[in-house]
Amino acid sequence: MISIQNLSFSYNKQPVLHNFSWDIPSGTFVLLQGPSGCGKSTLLRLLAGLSVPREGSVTHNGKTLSAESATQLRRSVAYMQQIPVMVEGSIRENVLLSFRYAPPGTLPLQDEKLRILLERLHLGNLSLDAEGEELSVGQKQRLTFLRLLLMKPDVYLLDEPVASLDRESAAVLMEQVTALHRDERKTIIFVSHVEHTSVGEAARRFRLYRDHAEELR
Amino acid sequence: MQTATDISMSGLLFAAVFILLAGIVSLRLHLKLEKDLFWGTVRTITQLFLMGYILRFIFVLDTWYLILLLYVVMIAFAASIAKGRIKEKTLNVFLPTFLSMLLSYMVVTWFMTAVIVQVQPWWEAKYFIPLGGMVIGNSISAVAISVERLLSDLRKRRAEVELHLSLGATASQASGDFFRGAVKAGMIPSITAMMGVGLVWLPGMMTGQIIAGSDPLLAVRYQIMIMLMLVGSATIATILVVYFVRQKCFAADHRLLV
Repeated sequence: MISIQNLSFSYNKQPVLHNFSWDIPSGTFVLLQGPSGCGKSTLLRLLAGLSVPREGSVTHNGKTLSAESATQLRRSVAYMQQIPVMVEGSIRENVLLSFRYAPPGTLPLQDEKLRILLERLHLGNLSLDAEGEELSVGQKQRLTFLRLLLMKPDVYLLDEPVASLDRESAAVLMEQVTALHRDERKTIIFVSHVEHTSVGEAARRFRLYRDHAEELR
Repeated sequence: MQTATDISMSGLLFAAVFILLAGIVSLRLHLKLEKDLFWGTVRTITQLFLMGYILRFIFVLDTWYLILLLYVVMIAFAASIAKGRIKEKTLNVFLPTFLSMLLSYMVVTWFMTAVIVQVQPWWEAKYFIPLGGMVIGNSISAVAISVERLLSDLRKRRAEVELHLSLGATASQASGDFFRGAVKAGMIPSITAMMGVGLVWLPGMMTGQIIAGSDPLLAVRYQIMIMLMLVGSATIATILVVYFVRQKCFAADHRLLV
């Protein structure tokens, strides 16, 4: 359960969210909409623990961000930035980055297992040794998604994940996201400024306002 | 041993002719450097004479705490010069800069006078202040370059840092590459200086000793010591300053603040 209580946040003294409260039960698939600049990305950063509210609180299953909880909490909340970020190195290194900060004893995936997962994201034609930087945006976005999957988080925060993707990439990604919710009951917060994003029946649509989120029926 | 020939005040005035020349060039080419030239000249003259009188005074008094105090004040000035060269103004880097310079320069200068030259006592002003001054003067830019590099990298590659953080990295893990890059950037100039010394330029201290009548080979030994210690002081100072400044760039909950 994610609980946001009386949260206020501003950018350069410009208030973005004000006295904002929202409870999101575990296992909910939220499609969060609203015009650009209304605070959707800000809200995701707050939920991801990359920003902290000026006032109010964000709790994940009762836990707030602190010096002790920070790294573990962030691992339980997967955050996908709007523009996919790759690090220098091969595709293998990029995907296995999720294991670099894993608790001791977590074994990284073998190549065969990795190839099966890439296949599922329609990336089977890529060589694991290819440079990560040279891929298309759509390919990068799917790889960063795979990176998050391997972390086995409870919550997925996806910031405009399909906005800059071609049709095929978008469809593949949407299918995976939907499956996460359907089969594993993960909490998903999917941000999009496009009204007609096809996320299927499972998602609950919300519109973000400065002080609350309203469910659209 | 012969001593250096005196420069008379009127002789010194001739040197000012070249400043006038620079001023005329600046005026004719609209470089707008006249003001800086004027103040630069005034500051050079007053600051050096001031230092000269302070040194005379301290040589006479010969007390260790005054010598060390003078050195601390020199380092404080150096820290504020370094701070001025760093473009990032939202973060106050004076204290971390001052502390890292103080620690590294004290250790390096003590090492030179006490261990290498073996001056008795190690704080003797005649050695401690000029040698220490050279260490300071030559690594201000190392410190400024490394801090500048760290801050601009963290800013430009924010998304990358936050990627690591969101995968569960601690602040130091997420900024490890930037830490190394900044330290390296600070170390390079002093290493480059070792390549050109003697071939392309004769360093100030060596020139001074030769003019003062020292055996050039003794001057060379001093200079070798200085060059090697400069690498050391640049290394220690940059590692410390990058470490301290990085602490200020992240919150306790491993969140990037800049």
